[in-house]
Amino acid sequence: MKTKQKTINSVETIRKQVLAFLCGMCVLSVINFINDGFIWKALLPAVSIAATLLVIRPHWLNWIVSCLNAIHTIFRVIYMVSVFYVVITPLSFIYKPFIMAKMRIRPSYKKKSYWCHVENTERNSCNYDKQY
Amino acid sequence: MTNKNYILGISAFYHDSAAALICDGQVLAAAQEERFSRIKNDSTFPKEAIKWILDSNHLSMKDINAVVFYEKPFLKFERILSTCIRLAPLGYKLFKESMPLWIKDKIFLKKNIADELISLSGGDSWNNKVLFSEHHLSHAAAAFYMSPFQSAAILTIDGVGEWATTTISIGIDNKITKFEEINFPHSFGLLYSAITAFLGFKVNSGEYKVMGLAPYGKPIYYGIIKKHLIDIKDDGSFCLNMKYFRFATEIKMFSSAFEKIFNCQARQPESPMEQCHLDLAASLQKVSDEVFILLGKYIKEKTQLDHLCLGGGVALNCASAGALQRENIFDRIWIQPSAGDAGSSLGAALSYYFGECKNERTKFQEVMPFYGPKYNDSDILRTLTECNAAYEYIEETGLLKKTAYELSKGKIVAWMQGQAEFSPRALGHRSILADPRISDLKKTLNLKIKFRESFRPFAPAVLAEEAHNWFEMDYPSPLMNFVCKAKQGVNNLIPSVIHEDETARVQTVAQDTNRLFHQLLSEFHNLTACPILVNTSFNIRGEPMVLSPKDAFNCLMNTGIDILVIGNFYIEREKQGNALFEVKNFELD
Repeated sequence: MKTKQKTINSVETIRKQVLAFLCGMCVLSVINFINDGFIWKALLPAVSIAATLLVIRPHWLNWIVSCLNAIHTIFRVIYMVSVFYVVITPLSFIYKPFIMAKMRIRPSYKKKSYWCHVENTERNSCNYDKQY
Repeated sequence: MTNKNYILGISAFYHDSAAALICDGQVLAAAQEERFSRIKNDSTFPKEAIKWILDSNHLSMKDINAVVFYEKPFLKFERILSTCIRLAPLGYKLFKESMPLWIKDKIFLKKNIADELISLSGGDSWNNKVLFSEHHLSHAAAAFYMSPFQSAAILTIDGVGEWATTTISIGIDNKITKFEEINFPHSFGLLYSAITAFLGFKVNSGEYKVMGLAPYGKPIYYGIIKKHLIDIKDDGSFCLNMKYFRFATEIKMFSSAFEKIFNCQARQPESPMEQCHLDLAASLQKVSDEVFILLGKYIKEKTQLDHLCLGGGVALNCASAGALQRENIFDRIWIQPSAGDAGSSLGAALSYYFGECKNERTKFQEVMPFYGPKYNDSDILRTLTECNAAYEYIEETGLLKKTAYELSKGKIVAWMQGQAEFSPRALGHRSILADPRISDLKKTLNLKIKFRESFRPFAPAVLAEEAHNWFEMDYPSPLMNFVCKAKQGVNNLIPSVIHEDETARVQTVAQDTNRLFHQLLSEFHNLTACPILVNTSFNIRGEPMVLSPKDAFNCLMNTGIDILVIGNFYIEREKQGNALFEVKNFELD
C-alpha cells in the first residue's frame, strides 16, 4: 500500500515538473513570437500550449485522436469515391470495348464454346522471375 | 550450403496457406499453417510450417536454392482492376475493400515474403530468390508431377487464380503445356461457392458440406440452374450469367435475383434447413456431375490420352469425380489429395523444378501424402507426462489387437500414427475410427464427437483387397477421392458409412502404402468379418485436424472419444481423473 502511494506521489511530482517546464516554454515562446513576429515561430508556442493542455487534460488526447480518425475516414471515403468515380469510371468508357471482349458477363447462346485457346507460347510460358 | 537442389513452395494470403519443400524433385515435407496455428483455413504467411520444414530437415534458409510463390500477384491485381473498369460504375464496394489492401500490402508481396524469410533465417542473408508460378500452373503441377503417370491430360478447376478459372493442359514427362482455359468471372468454383453461401455455409470452407447435403434432396432446380445461372456447352465449357452473381462487384456471392428464381430464401447460418435448400444442393451436384463428364469427354477427344490428372479446389468434389470415373472415359484418373490452394505450394515448387529447370522426372509411383510432422515416443511421453495423463505403452501387435477389439465393442478410437497428412482428408494417420456396423453411430459421431451438423456423412476405410466385395469399384482409391455405389445388401451391414443415395466415399487401404492402418483393418476384419472402419478426420468442428500429441490429448478430453492411440501409447478417456488439459468449446465453421 505504501509503495503504491509512493509511486503515485512520484508520478504527481514529475507531472508538476513537466507542467512547470511547459508553462515556461509557453511564456517564452509567446514572448519570442511577439518580439520577432515571424509566422513560423507561432509553431513553437502552439506546440507548447497544446502540450501543456494535454498534460493538464490528458483525456483530450482521445478526443483529438477521434477527430483525426474521423477526418481521416472522411478523406479516405472522398479519396476512394473520387478515384473510383472520377478516374475508374471515365477510364471504363475508354477501355470497356477492349475489356468487354475479354470479360463477357452474359452467356451467348449462339457461341459453340467458351474455351479460350492458349496457342501463344509467351502466354503459355511462365516467367518465374516476374510477378506478372 | 549443400549441393542438393532445395526448393521451397509457398501458398498464402488468400486461404489455406501452406509450405512445401522438395529436394531434387522429391517431396521432403509439406504442411498447412492451420495445423500449427490452430486457426482453420489460416491464410497468414506460413511461418510455423516453414520453421518446422527447415528444422525437421536440419536446414536453414541459406540452404534453400529458390522460394516459389504459388501465383502471380500483379496478374491478380490486373484482374481486379480490369473487373472494376469493366463493371464501372458498379463495383465501388469491391474497389473500396480491395484497393487499399493491395496498394498498402499485396502489391509489395515479393518484399514482404523476402522480409518474412529473412526473419526466419535469424536476420542472416540468403539468396533472396523469390519466384512466382501461375496459380493454375501450380495446381496442374501438383496434380501431374505427383501422379504416377508419365503422360496425362490435366484438368484444373477452381474458384479463380489470376485470370483462369478452368484450364486444360497436357503433361508429358517434365513438361506441362496448357492449351485451353476459361477466364474470370466464369468460374464453376465460384458458382459452387455462391450456392454454398446461399445455403448458409462459409465460402472457401463449406463447399464440401453442400456436397454432403446433396443426397438428401431432389435435383428439381437442375433446369433452373442451367437456364439462368450457367450456360454449359457440349464441350464442357461454361459461362455464368453475372446478373445473378455479385462476386465481381462486391464482397458478396449472389444477387437478390437468386432467391427469386429458386423461390427459396437464402438460409441464415445455423438456421434450420428447408427442403428447397436440400433440393438446391442436389441440383448443383447434378450440374457438377454433368460438367465433369462433359469436360472429361472433351479432354479425351482433344488429347487422346489414357490418363487424367485433376487439380484445383473443385477437384475435391469426390461425388463428381466418381461420376466421371464411372463413365470409363479414361483408364485412370488421379486427383491430387491436396487439390486446393494448400497443395499449390507443392505445385509451385514442382513446376519450377521440372518445368523451368527442366529436370528429368524419374519416379512414377503413387505416394501417400504423409508429409507432415511426426512425433517419436519421447515427444509423446513428454506431452503425456506434462498432461498428467494415464496411459499404457503396448507393443505393436498387442496394440493392434486391443484397438481392434475395442472398436468391435463399439468404442470410438482416435488414431494418430506417423507423419500427418498433407490433405484435407484423414487417411489413417490423424483419424477418428469406429465400427461401421452400428446403426446410430452417424448421429453420435456428428453430435457428440465432432459437434457438427447431423446430415454430414462418414467415409469408410476398407482393406484394398476386400473393396470390390462391398463397393462397386474396380479401381483403387487410396486417397479417398471418389464416391462410389455400395453393393446391394451392404447398406444394412455397414449403415453408418452409406449415404442417403447408397453411395460412399471410399478409402482403399493397401499394405504397401499404409501398413499400420492396413493391419488394424485386418485385425478388425478377423474379429468381425467386416474389413471396414469408419474413418473421419481427427478434429472437432471449427478446428483444423490435430497435429501434435497435445492437440490429440485435448481433443480426446473435450469430446466423447473413448480411446486415443498415439504411436504405441494407449490412452482411455475414462481413466484420466487428474489429467490437465485445455477446455475448449467448438466454433462454428
